[in-house]
Amino acid sequence: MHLWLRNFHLLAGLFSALMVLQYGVSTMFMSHRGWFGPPKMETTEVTINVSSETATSARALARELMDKHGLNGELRQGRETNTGYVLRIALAGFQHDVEYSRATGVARVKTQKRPARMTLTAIHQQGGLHHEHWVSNAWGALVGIVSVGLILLGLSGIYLWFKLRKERVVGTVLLVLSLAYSVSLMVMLRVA
Amino acid sequence: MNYWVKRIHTWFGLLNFTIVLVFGATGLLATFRPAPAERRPPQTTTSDVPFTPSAGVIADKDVAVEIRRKLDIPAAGGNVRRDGDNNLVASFSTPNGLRRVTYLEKENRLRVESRHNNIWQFFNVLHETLPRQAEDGRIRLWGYYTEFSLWSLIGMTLTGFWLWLATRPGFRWAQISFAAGTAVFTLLWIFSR
Repeated sequence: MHLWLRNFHLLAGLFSALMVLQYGVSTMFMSHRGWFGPPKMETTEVTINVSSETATSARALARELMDKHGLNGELRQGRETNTGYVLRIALAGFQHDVEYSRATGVARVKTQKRPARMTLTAIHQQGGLHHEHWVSNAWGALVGIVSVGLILLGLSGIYLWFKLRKERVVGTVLLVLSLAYSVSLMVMLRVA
Repeated sequence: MNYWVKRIHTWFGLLNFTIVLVFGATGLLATFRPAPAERRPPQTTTSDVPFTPSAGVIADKDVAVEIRRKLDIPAAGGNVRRDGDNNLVASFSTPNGLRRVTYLEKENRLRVESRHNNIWQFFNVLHETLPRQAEDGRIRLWGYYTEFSLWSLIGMTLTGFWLWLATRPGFRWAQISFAAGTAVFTLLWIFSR
């Protein structure tokens, strides 16, 4: 049992390592934006001709841009305007902002490639298995696996600590302090 | 050296035990919650509370502070505006859900609308509660804990990695597990850029 749990803790930890590191680092970026200065985005702009017969709706326009013009990603936002449509096709590392004019049949596509720290932040906010794009669903699946891993890492960690006799006294003090602090705050916040 | 790395890894784990479980629960919520269009909004209740701001409290934002204190709202953030009838509306974000308070000045009362997050949504908001400058002490203390956890997560990952390489680098399943996790992350990163 002990060896099994020890191995499980190691394997689950190693599999989740990069994702957990991503969560820590991206939280640091979100929590301490002032440390890093404004992010620099690489921006390119192109115009694409799409006939108004094809662009009958924002979704139809997005489909055309994805199928015929290489715009990869998930349709995140979209709406009709007085003159056409605006929409955003994006994944964690980039976004294409599209402004389409029905009158001219021209879609202006502004592509912004996000720097690594913004991509990490976007990955942090990924989740769910209901997305249209397989990459977003894959991230969602990885989030689920790592979440289960985190819970099991915590529980197996408690067991492994307890098996270290020399660490029981110090460990008990730390655990009791931590639980007293966190659980009492959670209760206070929940009942407020 | 390994002895101290192992102790630090263990201590970080013990100190962050609760919040690691909160993070795990949040991740499960993110994975299995319905798509935005299918989500049911949280239940909302409304109540009225008598209220008159203290003498000398004039500005809307100062009235909002008094409202928060009067109702003991553990606000992680909020905003203040006037509605269509020119009543002051103070909205407070709390781990339990949004609290929208309308100050009906002529009637000396507050109309309090409370949205009630379920326990999973509560954990979700807790996990992202970071404001260490919040006026509410409970939120500030939880914010310190979340801040500590972000550094602990980084520390536990690095110390865990060290312990593996220092004690069992040849363990084949560990190598496979690390390679698999890294490969999945790397591939998804590439496809996301």
